Amino acid sequence: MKKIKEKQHVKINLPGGYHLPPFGIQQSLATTIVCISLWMLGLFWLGLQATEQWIGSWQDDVRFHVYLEEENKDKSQALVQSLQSVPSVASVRLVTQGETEQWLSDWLGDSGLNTEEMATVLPNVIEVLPKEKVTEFLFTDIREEAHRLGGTVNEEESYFASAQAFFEDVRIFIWVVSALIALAMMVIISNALRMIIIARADEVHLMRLLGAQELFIRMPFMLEGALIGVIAGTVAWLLDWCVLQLMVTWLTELKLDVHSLYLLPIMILCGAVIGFVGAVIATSDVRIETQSVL
Amino acid sequence: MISMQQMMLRYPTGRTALAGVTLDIEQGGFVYLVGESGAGKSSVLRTLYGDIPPSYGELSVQGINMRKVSTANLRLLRQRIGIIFQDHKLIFSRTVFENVALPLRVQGRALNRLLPRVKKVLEFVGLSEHVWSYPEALSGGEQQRVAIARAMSSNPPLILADEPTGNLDVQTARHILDLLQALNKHGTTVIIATHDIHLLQSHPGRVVQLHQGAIVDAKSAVS
Repeated sequence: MKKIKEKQHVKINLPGGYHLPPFGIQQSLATTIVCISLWMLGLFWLGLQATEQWIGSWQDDVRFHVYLEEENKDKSQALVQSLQSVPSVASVRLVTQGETEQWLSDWLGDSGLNTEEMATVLPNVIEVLPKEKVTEFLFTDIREEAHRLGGTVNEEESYFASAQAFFEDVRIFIWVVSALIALAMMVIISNALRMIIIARADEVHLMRLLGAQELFIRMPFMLEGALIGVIAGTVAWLLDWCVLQLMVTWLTELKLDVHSLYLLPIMILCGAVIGFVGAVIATSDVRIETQSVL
Repeated sequence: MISMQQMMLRYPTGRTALAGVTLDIEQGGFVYLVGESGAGKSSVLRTLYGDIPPSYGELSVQGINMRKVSTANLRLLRQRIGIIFQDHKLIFSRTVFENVALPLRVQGRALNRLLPRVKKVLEFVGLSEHVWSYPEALSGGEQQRVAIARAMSSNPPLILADEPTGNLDVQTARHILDLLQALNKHGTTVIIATHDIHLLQSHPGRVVQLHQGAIVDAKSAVS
């Protein structure tokens, strides 16, 4: 019984027998700030995932339309062939008059207008189906080919292309913001640990006098930095998951299937790395008065 | 074991703490460094454990030249020296066990061997029942005994004690010196910086008297 009681007191099971410093107000504050930052980043990335799904859902149905007026009708086959040679174009076809009539009939409904007659005065329509993601370059290529053979493109459809470019910019922006926030988190953890190191300068100095190796002295602080990151990453992911649960009805209506689970290991790993690097910065060089502390 | 030749120590502030100290201490010696405050007792000890290097002259500790010692060698040397401070320098957020086991952990001793060793040294200083206590729950004398236990836990051949009885009553101070003498009888070299001259009567040893950074009297032993 006595032996069991003794074992409970011996807290020497961390790697290498290291002891973590006591978890105080500085560490709690750093954990909270890092947690909020990671939570915000998680929301950014989940938002990006949802947006990409939403864009992808309508991009699969994107068709570009090239119009050829009556006087250039003889160039329609040449234009079809020319458009087929554009990279990233999956297929090109000439829309038949019957399809045009059907479309007019659907559009005009029971208006009583003669759709057959109207279809004859409309320009020839060539439908272009893009291969993968729609880009601004693809739309420009289609426009150039159409102009070369007397055709025109439906300019309103260029928004499909510019939307993709816009979200590529958003993705880059989120990467930059993530990097900046990661840097800020490192500084926050580094500052918190530096305060702790200064508060425990005597202890660090004592370890030096006992002949401790640098790694032995610094490792508890590095482990603590990583632990702060891991705790913050886990809690931040839980908060993101809660937000996702609150929005589940709205996301279902939009037919969006946003996954948060893949973020869990990423956020934990990022938190650990950020905390560890922050601790390395904190322990790199701290001197108090003339006495070397770390 | 320790050899000083015309050793001088000047602090960055310009104050000369030691001025041409020449002294040899053999293995197994029990040496008192005595003198008034500011005589240089603590400075001698600090140079011995490499906290500050001598400015001039020679100092060799356990065969290591302290003026040219590398960081790695200094680390190894410190692992072979037990240091007792006047203010104990115990870690108050850790238990007595953790404090005493610290030198062993620093040296990378096997974790399962820490507890038996710590218990043994605490038994030697009469604190075996306080293994899991925190230092703040102990009296000044008990805290100093924990500091002695920490200094001897790794069984070093040299123990340096800086005013180990400074804040203690006479009875407790005698008990502390009893412990240090017992360690000396086991072959450990003990060097004590003290100004409690009356303790020398009951615990004989070699007395080195310092005055303004210089040795004024170095008797081989007194009783």
